[in-house]
Amino acid sequence: MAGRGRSAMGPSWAVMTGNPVWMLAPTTRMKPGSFVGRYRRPRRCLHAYTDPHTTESDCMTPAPIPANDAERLRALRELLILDTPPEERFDRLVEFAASEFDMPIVLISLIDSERQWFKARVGMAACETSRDISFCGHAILQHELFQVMDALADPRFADNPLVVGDPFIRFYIGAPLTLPGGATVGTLCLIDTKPREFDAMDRAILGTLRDLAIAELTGQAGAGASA
Amino acid sequence: MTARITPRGRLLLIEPQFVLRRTVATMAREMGLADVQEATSPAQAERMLFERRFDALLVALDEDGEALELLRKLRAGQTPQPSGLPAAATATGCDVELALRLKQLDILRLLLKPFKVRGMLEVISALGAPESLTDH
Repeated sequence: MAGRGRSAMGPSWAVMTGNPVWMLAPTTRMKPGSFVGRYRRPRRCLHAYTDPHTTESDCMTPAPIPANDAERLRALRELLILDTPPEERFDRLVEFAASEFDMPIVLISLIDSERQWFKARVGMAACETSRDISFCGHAILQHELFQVMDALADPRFADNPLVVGDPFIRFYIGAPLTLPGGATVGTLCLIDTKPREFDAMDRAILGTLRDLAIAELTGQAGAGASA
Repeated sequence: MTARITPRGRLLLIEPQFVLRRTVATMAREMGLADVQEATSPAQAERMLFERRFDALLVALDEDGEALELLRKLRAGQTPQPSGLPAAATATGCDVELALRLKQLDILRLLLKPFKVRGMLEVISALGAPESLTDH
């Protein structure tokens, strides 16, 4: 959080409102009707408001920006998919995953420069959140599945607004959506509000569903995909 | 009556739902359970039964009864496949009448919805056995 600045309103404001700071923090890039402002990282971590011994290093880790982010964003935008309406071929994937894994939240999340935007979603009202608080922003840094067994026990996420507030994430696993050219544009991710186990078979099934999502993104899905 | 499919044997999966069908087929191949060929409908499956040999069949029962009719033809020797081809089925439900019909058709396993990929893979694995019927 160092170098990110602090809220000008300070802790008393946070206590007086009784609301999570991140929900009320002013935003400068919020678009009309956007959920980004609602799901934005607080200027100062939540612990720092209530615990005088908390240091900045105790606070959540914002989603890192990969070195190849410009190329990654170019590849994402070439898909011409951002801010497009919902599509059955993607909705079907997340609905299937939610049923298969009994997960309350499943997303196809695409990581834009300042936000994660959901091409398909189950169990999540918002269509996007700020990138820096996103779990998927962490997941795109690797090609393997990115898993957080219990977010409250993980210092990178313990005071993340998406953990301490709605949707109260505890378990997260994201399968990076890596295009044939090598750019990882987002994830197919599963979220639960309680810690979960996820065995090797589950991981293999998620990997297969991820491959289907990539095929849909790149137009490589077979003719049967419309079935 | 029925023989069983060997690992890497050829299984015909008849399932209209794309995500389920493709996921099961991919997983079964990757796990070495079977070489799964996909059909979206009983009509397509019937054509495939005339084109190549299979070691087993896993078919989603439809409301129109087309899948049951395909199984009847198979057991009656009206396809080029061995009439004893091992077969399993998936269905949204099962009453006594259907259960008796499936027994007549020598269906080894019936998987009722809501079923998961894991369950279908278990059925495919259960079709596994010592020898392949396919002449590769």
